[in-house]
Amino acid sequence: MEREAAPALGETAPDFTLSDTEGASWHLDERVAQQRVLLVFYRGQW
Amino acid sequence: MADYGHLVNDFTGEGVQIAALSVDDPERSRDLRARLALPYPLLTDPGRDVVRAWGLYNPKEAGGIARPATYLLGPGRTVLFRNIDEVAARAQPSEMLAYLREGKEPPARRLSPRLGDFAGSLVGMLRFGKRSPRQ
Repeated sequence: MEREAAPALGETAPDFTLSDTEGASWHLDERVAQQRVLLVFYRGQW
Repeated sequence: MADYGHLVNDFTGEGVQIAALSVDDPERSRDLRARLALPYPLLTDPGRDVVRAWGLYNPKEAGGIARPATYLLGPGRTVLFRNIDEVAARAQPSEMLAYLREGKEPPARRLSPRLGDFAGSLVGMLRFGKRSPRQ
């Protein structure tokens, strides 16, 4: 599902699970249940 | 990226964990993380599923990449702060810390210098733009 607009202040951001560079699974929902999360989207090098 | 790395303990002290996300494949991300000695995870979204789901997909550049953005998320994935790069400007990690500690707004967007060199382009990954509207 593609959103038109990125989640705004006060909205609920979409959940996801991705792998990190060590192959470990990282689940947003679990993380925010522990602590606040600063998530930085970066352009990358492609 | 590196700036957040240097300040990771300060963020931890504020009860905030850091993660960064791009569409780079795991190998590239692993190289970047090693080169910058980043102490936080780099999440890989080569299928672009997450950046699409978040409305941060920029199909016009480089085969489709994430728009630079910074989100602070609380319980239930509530957006507590966001900053999205739509103009040439960026906020600094130190400004994010001030926001966390004092509720201080990051300064109004500023023009970013022209980024040519490699170091500059790494910093450029963190460029942000428009501030969240206060409602």
